[in-house]
Amino acid sequence: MELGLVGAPECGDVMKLQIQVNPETNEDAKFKTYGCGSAIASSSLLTEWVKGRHLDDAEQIKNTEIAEELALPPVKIHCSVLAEDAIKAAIHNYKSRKKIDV
Amino acid sequence: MNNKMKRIIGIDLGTTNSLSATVFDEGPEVIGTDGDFSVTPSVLSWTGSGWLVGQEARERRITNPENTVYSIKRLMGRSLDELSETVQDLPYQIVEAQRQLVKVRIGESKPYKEFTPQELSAEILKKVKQRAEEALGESVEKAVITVPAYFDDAQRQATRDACRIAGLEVARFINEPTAAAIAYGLDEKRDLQKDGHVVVYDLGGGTFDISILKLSGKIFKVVATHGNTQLGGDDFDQVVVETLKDRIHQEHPEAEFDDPESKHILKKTAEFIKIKLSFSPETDYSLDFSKKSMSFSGVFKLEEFESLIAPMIEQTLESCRHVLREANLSVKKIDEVVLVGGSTVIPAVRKQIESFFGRPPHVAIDPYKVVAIGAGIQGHLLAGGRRDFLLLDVIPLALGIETLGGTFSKIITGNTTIPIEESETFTTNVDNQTSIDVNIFQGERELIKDCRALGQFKLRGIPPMKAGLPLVEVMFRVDANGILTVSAIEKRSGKKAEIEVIPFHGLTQFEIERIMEDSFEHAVDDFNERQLIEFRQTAERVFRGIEQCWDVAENDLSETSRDEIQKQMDVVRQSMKGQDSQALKTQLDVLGDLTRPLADNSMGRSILSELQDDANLNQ
Amino acid sequence: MTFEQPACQKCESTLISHLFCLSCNAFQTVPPEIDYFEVLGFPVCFEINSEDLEERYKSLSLVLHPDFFAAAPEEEKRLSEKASAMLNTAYNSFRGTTSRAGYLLSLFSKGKNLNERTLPDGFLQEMFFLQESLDELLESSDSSALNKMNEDLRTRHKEIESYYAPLFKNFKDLPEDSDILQQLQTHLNAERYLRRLLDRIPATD
Repeated sequence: MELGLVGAPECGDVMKLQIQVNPETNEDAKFKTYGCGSAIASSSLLTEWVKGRHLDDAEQIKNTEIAEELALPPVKIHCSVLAEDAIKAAIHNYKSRKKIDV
Repeated sequence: MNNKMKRIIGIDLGTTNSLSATVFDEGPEVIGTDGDFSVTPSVLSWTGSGWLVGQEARERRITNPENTVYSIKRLMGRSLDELSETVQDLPYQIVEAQRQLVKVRIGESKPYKEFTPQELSAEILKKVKQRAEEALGESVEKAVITVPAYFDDAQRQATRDACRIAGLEVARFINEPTAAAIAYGLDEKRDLQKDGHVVVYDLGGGTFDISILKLSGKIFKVVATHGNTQLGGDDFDQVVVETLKDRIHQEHPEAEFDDPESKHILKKTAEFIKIKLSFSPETDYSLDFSKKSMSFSGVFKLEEFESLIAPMIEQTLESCRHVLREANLSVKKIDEVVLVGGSTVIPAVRKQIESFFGRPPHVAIDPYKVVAIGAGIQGHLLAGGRRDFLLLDVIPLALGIETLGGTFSKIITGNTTIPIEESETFTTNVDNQTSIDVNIFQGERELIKDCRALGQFKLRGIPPMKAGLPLVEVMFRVDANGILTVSAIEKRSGKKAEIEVIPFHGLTQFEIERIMEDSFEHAVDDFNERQLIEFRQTAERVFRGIEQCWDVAENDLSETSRDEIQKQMDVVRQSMKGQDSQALKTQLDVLGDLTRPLADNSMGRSILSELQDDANLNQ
Repeated sequence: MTFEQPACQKCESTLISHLFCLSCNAFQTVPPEIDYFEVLGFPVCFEINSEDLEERYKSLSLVLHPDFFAAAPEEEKRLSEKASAMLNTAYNSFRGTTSRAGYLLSLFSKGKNLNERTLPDGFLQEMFFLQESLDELLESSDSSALNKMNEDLRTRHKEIESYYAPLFKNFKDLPEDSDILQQLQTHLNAERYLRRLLDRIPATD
């Protein structure tokens, strides 16, 4: 179980993403987001996308893809950034912990 | 008023009653000639070829229920879905038309007559305009129209369309509580604190508004507003109606009340009970369903009424809490509380407000008139009659657009002072895309399903470019009337994108023009017919009045005078059978002259004024 | 940054607001990127006395508002509406301490490469924790605990807002020091997370 905790300073939204990695693949992903509708939609879309994906793959997800899929207007682009940040943070945490473990 | 300045009157277009006001040399006052009750009930009745409006229509609620329409304001700019609860209570038929628009259907079988709420509202406006013109002796072209503060853009647009159809130019829309604040704040006779925070609690026939204003040096600045456009005295009536039905069912389990006549009788009785209970701890009532040959009577207790309406009063207090929070003020910071709207006459409402705000509310200006008077004062300002005060109002609810996933992105936040402009940049998703669809919503919630769809904007004529390259700046402009307009420009090419507005719940320009042409064609025929019906009803009223004070006549008038009156009554009866409205009017005038001594007598006067006692508790 | 006194395009009197000449009552042609200080006629400075702001807003509204141009030609009506809208936007932005600080920071940080996402250490974790605690409090409807939380958050919010003025003052003396702007950015970011929490607490009497 790995955590990614991120925030969007543009609006004060916070998001916690949990991923279950086994061994190099995201088996499951859950999120908890305190924020606006766009932030929740972005988080939700992100968890759908990362499930079953290889870590290296999931790491490549770009906020622009999320923004495009949800057709976010310019004022809400930061919500997709939040989601991208979350998966990056979670994977980063996982990888750095593994290094320590090894 | 100087000659160059064209008068702009104020009109309070209410759910139950409508009236106009203006500034006379002596000061602001409701428009209406002496002895002529200046309120026009917001009721219409279809005669087969045209509408009767006001008092005459109101009298036909029982005799002609299926053709008599009231509470139209509740339908303005709404869709059938949103109205499902309201519709059940109304005795007339409402059907869905194009683009979620509703129409009122008249007639029991085909061919039906169908009318949009805008057309019906226009009929009321025409009547108010006509009465104002008669009283002022001059034509009226422009008006300040009041709307509930919590009316959204669709409801305002619908009201504006009604004005267009009625041939009235809207000089300005102002919010009802704000209008009331102006009337209070500028009343020289009143010792209202000149600077400070004023709460206006406005509970009318069909709408509730709460506004907090900051008064300082003749500037009336609305700080925050909240409300409910589907809550008012009508709902108080409805809970009483439900109780009455339950009681009747206990004696007559088979009884059904879905026919228009029963609905009208129940509604009228509920109104009667509500009014009586404002003055006494209990009241008798009786219902006479003549078509069913069933009657029913009983006693209604004040405590029962109060417990029935308590949840609705609590709803209004919830709005009070909300608006205080929006304004970032505590109850202690409120300097005055002003009550507006007929439903604030109810003692339970007053008690609750007093205990909530911890101070007795102001009620000195007639709560029925105060909104119209405020609008009249604002009209005077717009006409150039004075410029020593200023009203700064707000947009009640946020405006924004739909983003995929059904979320709502606010572009202009609620409670922003108007006029206001905000822009937002859009781009394309596909190469060479030349148009973008934007859905406009209004509301305070996160998801568009909880907000109101105002319309769809199609941005066309975007120069073909790679996806993401065009920068289409869309400008949202809310004018001082609280009405939204949208324009767009592609910034890279400087090309103006065309915007086509497809209003939901609203009329297109073409539809408005068609309605106006139609009504012009029928105008002449309708006019004679309408007058005939109006005069016939006036005659009936006069007859009733004479009958009621005949005792007085026997004491006060000579036998010859009494004979003359009797003879003239016969002449009028004959005229009533004819088709010549002017002849009937002439004979009625003669009768009026003959009975003048009766009307001048104090007893007679009180009876004649009884005739107008139908004036309602709601506004 | 210096405060330039502009002149009316018509009568050349000194303007207070760039929008309108109070001497000859003429609307001015203004570029769309005119800043809020120019709209309101204040020198570029964080500290604006709230009474001065109210007074200025009132006196400008009393000459610009569309209500006073109801009978004027269309062009003038449009100018009045446009100018009033600009005035309203500027006034709304300046009324709030944080929104004024944010606006001024955006002017100062043009061309400087600020990191827009900085937060105090451990702040994000704490915010998430507070959000979760708030969830529990809202569910339990423990009003005294909720009030306590409300007060604590308000105190912290006030504290953050009290940091702006001294930092802007420092920046005035050391206009080359981007670090001061970065600190301001950090406080402004933190403020938003706190406001998010406060917005979730329902109104009480």
